[in-house]
Amino acid sequence: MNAPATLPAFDVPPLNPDELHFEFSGSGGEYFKIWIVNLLLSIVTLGLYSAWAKVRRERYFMGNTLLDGSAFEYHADPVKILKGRLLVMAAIVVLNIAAEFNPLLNLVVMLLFAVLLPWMISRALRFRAHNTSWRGLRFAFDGLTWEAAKAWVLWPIAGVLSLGILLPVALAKQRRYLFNHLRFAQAEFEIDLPVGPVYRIFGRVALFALAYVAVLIGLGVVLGGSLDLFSPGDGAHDGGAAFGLYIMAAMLALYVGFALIAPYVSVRMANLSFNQANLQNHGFFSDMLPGRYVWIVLSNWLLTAVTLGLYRPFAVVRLWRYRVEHLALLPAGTLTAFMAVQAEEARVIGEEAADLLDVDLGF
Amino acid sequence: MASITARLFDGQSSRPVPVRLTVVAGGVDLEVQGGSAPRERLALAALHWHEPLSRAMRRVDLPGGRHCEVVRDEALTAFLGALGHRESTITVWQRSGLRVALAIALILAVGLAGYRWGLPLVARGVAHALPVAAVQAIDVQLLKTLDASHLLAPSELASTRIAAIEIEVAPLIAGRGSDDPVRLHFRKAPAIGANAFALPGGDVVVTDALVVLAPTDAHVAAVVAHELGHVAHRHGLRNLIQASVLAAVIGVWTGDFSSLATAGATVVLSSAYSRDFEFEADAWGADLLARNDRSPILLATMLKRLEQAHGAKGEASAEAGGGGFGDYLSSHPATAERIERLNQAVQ
Repeated sequence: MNAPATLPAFDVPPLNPDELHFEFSGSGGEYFKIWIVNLLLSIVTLGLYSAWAKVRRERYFMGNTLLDGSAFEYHADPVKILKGRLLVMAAIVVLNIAAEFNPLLNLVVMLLFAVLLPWMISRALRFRAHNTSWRGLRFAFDGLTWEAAKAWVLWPIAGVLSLGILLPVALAKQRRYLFNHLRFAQAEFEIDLPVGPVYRIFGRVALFALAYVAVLIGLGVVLGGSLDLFSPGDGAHDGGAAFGLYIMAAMLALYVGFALIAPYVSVRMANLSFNQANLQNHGFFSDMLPGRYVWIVLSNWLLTAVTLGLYRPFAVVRLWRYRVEHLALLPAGTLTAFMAVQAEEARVIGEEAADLLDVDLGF
Repeated sequence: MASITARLFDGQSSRPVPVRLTVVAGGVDLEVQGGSAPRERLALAALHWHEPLSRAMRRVDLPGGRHCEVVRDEALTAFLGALGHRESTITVWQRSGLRVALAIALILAVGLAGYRWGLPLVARGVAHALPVAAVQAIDVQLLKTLDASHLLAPSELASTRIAAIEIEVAPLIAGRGSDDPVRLHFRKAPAIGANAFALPGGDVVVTDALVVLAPTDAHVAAVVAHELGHVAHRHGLRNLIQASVLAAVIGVWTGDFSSLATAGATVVLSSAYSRDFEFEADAWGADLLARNDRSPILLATMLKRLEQAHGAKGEASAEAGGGGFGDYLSSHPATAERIERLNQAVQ
């Protein structure tokens, strides 16, 4: 993780390594300082500073994420982020108040949200990509709202109506949308993501969940049964309390278990997506271990709760570092040949509108 | 003469160009290494140094959409020193451990002050600014939801008893010095037990068990006086506002990592506010009773009886093996203090 003491020589074309690992040079301690100063200024300015805070956070994470010795850069203008945030907040407040007074409006609000969500998703992806660069060349995203609507609204609805059978298809469509419309400079990302492996991920989740619930129920039956058999009379009081305690512990275990499904699916999907994606002829390789990743997420939750939130910057860095350091580029040649998109081409793909305002959805 | 090597990117391609930057009078000279291109003189104002967020590298923007990546080492420090470059205030703050500690202390102070004084003040202002009609719309919705759930069922009290209580309460409602409408509801609620509660918009619900527990109708009226205090101070609404703001703040602070944890923390933090509300409603109710020539002792008696009723029930359910955890939370630790204050109000 240490920076090279000297820069690589440029006159000699670099050897063609099999794998170029992404690196992260930040640390939890450093980010803690940025986070605490961001937080203080956000509180003092009643949240207005949060847009600037976001830019500084993204700059820290991008600026410490390195590929081939060069850092990524985040360029967003905080004022545009602030505009986007105010817009979204105003919409949420108005819609919530409207729904509070008239239940019929609830339906209208949900419909409106279903229409607005895809627009916000495509906007957010566009803004994010446009404001990220590497070696002075920008990323870009040209996915349409309608495509986002299919992946984030229509397919999930189909998934729910089919009792979850079509949900993996929805997830695959979302990944395809994210990758197939992304480009770096003039180079385009592509993903060939079949639904079969996504179904296998969900199959595993279903098996895990069934086994987990079965173990919890089995433990309960054993505990409850033994109490009935061996602690009659006076002991029944204590046994009942112990069983009540077990029920509470089991409920908590169930809640935590189901909360871990999302990170598990997310890490498996990330591995799958990157391994199926390419940028021109360059491939990617992601080898995160699902068990390790889920453990990081779980221990991050615990430590954040125990420290009343103070561990959060360390937690974020820890997870990001794991993701970055398990991702590699499989270069097909030198990385010096990427060329910037020219002005007229940028107009065609709607690039200039990308920077209008940010809709912050956490992509 | 301070100078550094760097990699230059022209913004048109990803090809790095090795360059040397040298401090000269009035600016910086840029020279492509191993090339025959002439030196380029850059004005100091044309250089934009990025905040040093990465340990490995620092970026400086040059005119013409170009930028340089510079390794952060002693040579760069010397170079910046020779340029007379000054870091931004925020960078200085972040570097100093003392100032970071100061930031933590400030956040704690602002957070605590906001929690203890700021939020209650804002909630009170907002609650009193909202029009009564709007708040009543919330009540109608709430009562409908409660009635539809298994929590509340139609009252099984004799209609004569209800009428008697309403006659007892009427002077209190008339004499409280406000035109905002108040509606009294009676409901059977086995899950809640003996209790009475006020909704934000002036709907007061009394459970059958509370009426059974009360020795006389005047005792029921005393409890209603306390609930009218909640209505007058708009406690229901203030509670709603405070809890939503707390939930939002906790969500931001913890990154919303678990809705269960957020809800739990909100309940714990809100409970301190509800203690203040109970004292406020007691004082208001006692004053109303006294102005109508009734004794606040009626309310104190009911508080004692309610505590005993809930305590007994809690023990009973623990005996049954169900655990008395819920009753632990709902039983008021401050009941003794509340009774003490009511007794003092009489003297």
